[in-house]
Amino acid sequence: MIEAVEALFVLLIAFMLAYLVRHNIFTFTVLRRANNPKKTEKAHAKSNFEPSVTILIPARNEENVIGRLLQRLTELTYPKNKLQVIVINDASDDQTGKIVSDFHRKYPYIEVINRDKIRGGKGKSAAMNHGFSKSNGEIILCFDADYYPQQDIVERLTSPFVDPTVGGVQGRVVVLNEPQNIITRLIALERVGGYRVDQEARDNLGLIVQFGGTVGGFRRRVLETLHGWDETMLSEDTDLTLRTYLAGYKIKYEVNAECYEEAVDNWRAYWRQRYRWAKGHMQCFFKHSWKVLTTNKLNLKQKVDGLLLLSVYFMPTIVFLSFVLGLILLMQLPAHGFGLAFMTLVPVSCYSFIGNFAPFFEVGVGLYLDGRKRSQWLLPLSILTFLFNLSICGLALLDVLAGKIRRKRTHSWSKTNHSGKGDNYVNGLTLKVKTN
Amino acid sequence: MSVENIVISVFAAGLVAFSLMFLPSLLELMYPKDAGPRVITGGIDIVNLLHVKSLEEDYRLGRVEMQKLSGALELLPNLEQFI
Repeated sequence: MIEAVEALFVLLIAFMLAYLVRHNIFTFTVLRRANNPKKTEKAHAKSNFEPSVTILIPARNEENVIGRLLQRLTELTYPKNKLQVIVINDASDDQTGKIVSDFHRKYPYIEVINRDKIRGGKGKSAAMNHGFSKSNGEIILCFDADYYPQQDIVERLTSPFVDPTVGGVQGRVVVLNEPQNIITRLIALERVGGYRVDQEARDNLGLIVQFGGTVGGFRRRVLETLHGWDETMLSEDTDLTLRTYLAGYKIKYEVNAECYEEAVDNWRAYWRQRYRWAKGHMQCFFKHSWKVLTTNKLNLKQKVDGLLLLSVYFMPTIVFLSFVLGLILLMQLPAHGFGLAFMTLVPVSCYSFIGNFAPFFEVGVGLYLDGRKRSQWLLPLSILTFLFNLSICGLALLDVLAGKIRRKRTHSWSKTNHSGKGDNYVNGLTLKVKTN
Repeated sequence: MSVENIVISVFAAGLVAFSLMFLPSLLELMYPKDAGPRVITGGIDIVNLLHVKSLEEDYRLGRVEMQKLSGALELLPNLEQFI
């Protein structure tokens, strides 16, 4: 029996070590390249590439934030004759439709699709597919309603499509309401780790760059090949990422294409959002992991990265399980001697290293590269989000397994409510939107 | 020293060290100097009230330090007496 526990324990440790190595490779890669400006930035400055672009915005009860985004889209520097903005008002009960219609009257390139309660309300993917069917742009970009982009973001996001092998693009997400409270500050740290280091390193190393569902987009031809968004998936963005790579295209990350997001500002909303992400990611694992292993469209390092990306939400459970197994083995120590003692020390060190320090190191380096040294003082508090994610991912795993047994699938919105408090951090914005 | 005492001492020291780890975090939360939001490119005019607040705080702290310093200088001998 104890041998079986030991074997499982070694397996989990190997898995954790893989993540440790991955995190550190990512961090050192970005650090090493920090002083070399990206070639794409130079290409962007010189390029005359101006394809027609459609921006899709799925919106369900977004009256607090949709005006802020639409106002900003009217200020974009991209030629308006090459721009189409489609808001998919998905059976909203509030003033979302009215706000968008008001903008449409003034700016004809902003269009609205109103989905009623019978056809609509079936989730973000269904809304996106509806919007895509009405689009005419060569490049399809996506923004969530609570986002607030920089003025030249379309130029920056479309520039990688000069390369015909590029199927998709992802920009950087920055937290707008960071000063609001401890939760928004911790989310800002996560975003720095994820976007300043993780995505950047994946792009530099030719691995799997993840489309985040917003602040990014795809070539029309690629979306047509993939038949748009899969309406059965909770994490439609991760699903689309994997399907893009499995179809032989790549996704580019543009660290200089930045966009603000209004982060959730309470633990309850944080739980809901992360639970959805964790569950959706696990669904993707079961759908794509075998395809990733067996496809000839990915090289070996992309396969390894793809599997680690798909498994990332299992990590907190694995860390917890290895910790428990380590304790069990430790209690067996007197009966088994030094070999087992050594084995029990490994998880403790790995637990600390991977559970805490390796991702912390990543976030710390991201903050350093952003010139935010004082925010590094908050790093120890990341243990709070780690512990929180431990529970979220554990329960999400049980939920996914139970769903697999029951074979139950639901198609509905599972969205985050946005308060519009991000307005407080953009000067003069409230006034501008109200005057429209 | 008994084994129990050593274990308790190590445990207590660990607890103190662990708590000290959070001290800088608490300082930044209580007196934020880098609370963002990070200003992105593209001509966005950001209102950073916290930053303004921390500048005022810096100014106030600076004034207090100067008062202390001038108090300390008064204790030094007056060099003019020796000229």
